[in-house]
Amino acid sequence: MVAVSGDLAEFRFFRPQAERVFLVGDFNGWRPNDLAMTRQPGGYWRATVRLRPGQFRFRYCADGQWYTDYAASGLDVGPYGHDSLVCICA
Amino acid sequence: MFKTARKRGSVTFSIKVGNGVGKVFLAGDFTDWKPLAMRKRAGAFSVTVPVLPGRHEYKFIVDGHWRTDPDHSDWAANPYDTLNSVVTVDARPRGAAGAGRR
Repeated sequence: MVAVSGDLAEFRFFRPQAERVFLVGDFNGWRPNDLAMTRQPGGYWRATVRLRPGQFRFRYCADGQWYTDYAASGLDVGPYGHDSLVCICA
Repeated sequence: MFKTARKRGSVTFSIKVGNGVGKVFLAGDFTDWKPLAMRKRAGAFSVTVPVLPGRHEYKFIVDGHWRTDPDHSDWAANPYDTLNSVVTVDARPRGAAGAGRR
């Protein structure tokens, strides 16, 4: 799930069994092993990104498996299925 | 990763790297983005620098490659279309509230 406050997007992803979870999106050039999320108590993984105004696409990659976030700002069809969207208002 | 150093107003930044890595620098708004050499000890590079309270952006330079902090998941977009790592330094003194805690 994504919560946007001003230019700050907070990403939370529930995956208690995962060893490693990465945030991957157009804001980091879709590099898969770049943005390691932090494990939180209760099985959630967390990250925050300050972004410029606009619409960005992302997914999570947990132990090599890709996941769409269905509790984000929206969805769009990408080359490999549904990408999640996060919108930062101007 | 980073943690508040014993001396108030200082932050210790560190990064674990593989054996083949030769040089690591820290650069951030608090160094005017000038690379600051980090010292190697026990498989990690670290350096302690004075940082004013507030939100600051930084990045590591590992053998010439700019890297975000692999141990911390707060980032901010920069003008180069990549991300910087973000550290927030508490304005509150560490004395009373933190005393007795680990």
